[in-house]
Amino acid sequence: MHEPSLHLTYGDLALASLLLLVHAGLSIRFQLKLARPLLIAAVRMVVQLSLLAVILQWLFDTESALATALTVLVMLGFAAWETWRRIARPLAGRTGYLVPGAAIAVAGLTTLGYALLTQLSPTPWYAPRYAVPILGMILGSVMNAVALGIDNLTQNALRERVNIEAQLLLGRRFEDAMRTHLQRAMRTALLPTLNLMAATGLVMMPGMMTGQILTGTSPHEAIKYQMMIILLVAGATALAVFLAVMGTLRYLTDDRERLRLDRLAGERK
Amino acid sequence: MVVPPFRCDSVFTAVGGPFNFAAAPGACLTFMGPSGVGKSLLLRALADLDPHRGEVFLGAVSQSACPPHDWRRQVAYVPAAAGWWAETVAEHFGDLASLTDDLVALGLPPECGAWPVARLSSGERQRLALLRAVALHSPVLLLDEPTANLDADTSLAVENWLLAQKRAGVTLIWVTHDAAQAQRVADRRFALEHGGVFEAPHA
Repeated sequence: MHEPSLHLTYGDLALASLLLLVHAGLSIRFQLKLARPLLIAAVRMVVQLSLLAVILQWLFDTESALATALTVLVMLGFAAWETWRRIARPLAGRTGYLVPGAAIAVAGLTTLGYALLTQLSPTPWYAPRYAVPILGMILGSVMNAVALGIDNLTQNALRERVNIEAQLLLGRRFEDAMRTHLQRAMRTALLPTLNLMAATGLVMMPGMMTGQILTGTSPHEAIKYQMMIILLVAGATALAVFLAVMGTLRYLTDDRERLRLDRLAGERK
Repeated sequence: MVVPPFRCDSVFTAVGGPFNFAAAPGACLTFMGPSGVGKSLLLRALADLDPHRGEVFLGAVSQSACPPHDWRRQVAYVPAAAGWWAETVAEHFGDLASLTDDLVALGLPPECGAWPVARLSSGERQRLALLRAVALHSPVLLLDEPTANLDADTSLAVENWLLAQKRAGVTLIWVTHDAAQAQRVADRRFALEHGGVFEAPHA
């Protein structure tokens, strides 16, 4: 372990928040109505991360398999719920939550297990110091992409209903009538991941690698880790999007190859 | 064309039923009824686009036993406002060049295949949607107000073109709001109500 080259105090954190306070002042002066939401979001972030620090420290100290498994489950559950929340017209009922949830769980756990067993090989293999942060980074990207993919598919199916049904009426298979919408949904979902990989290192320094460098790791080491993480995250994202969009498509039709928009939830209030 | 009889047996849609009727091969049945009574929903059920109770037969083949894409080729439904998914007209047809005679009969120029769909008028869309379905050579056509967007002359031309399909053996299930049109084209006329279909006495 490297000793941090600079030591961060709580006073330093207070200083970092000063810029937001300046903006809050501007917001009040110009009646932008941004002061409150910005301050609330900042306080929320501080509280959430402080709690996380306590939980992570405890997890790392106990190194219990059960506690790690529970943490992973809670993370997957939250990821599924947060994804569902971001889809304007998800599938109705429990399916709307279970389809993205299953896609996220399968892709997340497969990728995590693969990384732990072959590339990182910590002892024990489930060591929370590795499993939890890596899953966290995977879920951050996967949630976003799955929500984008399902949202795009269901919105397009709703908007293009007449055109999709026109193809069914001419004897085309559901799969063929939906092909361009399927492609569009998958592409939309993966676009942020593609863009991220293209821009990383040119304009943007990924947070994880930057953090490691700030705490004294050599750029070579930090970047190697960053590359592994990006590749794992991109792989997990692609897999999750595939499963989630195909799963949703499956529920948008039935054994008579109808377009079943009645299976979508109503507009959110 | 040898066309099997078409039969609708105790079909319930989301808003009505039971609907019972049978059409002899090459017959034209018209259906009239107030807006919202479920005329389009009945046609959607006949084409198996919506879940519904009851059974539909084409000869001995039942809808539920027929692969859905096969069924929709046999029982071709032309909605009142049909959909378009590609940029130009010709992309929606297998071979538009072989349909020049029909284009002329419908009052459309043979070169309309190159037209962008976005610039079609509602009347042009309607006639092209009819032609697109007729080009499938289906034994049964389900028509939802096929002349609603047309002027009187064009409307008659389309009527005559559809009756020519009927003479070739195609069964027509024709929803219309126009009583005079029903008189002109129908072998049998039906009134559609929530509780079922009722045949009008011969005029």
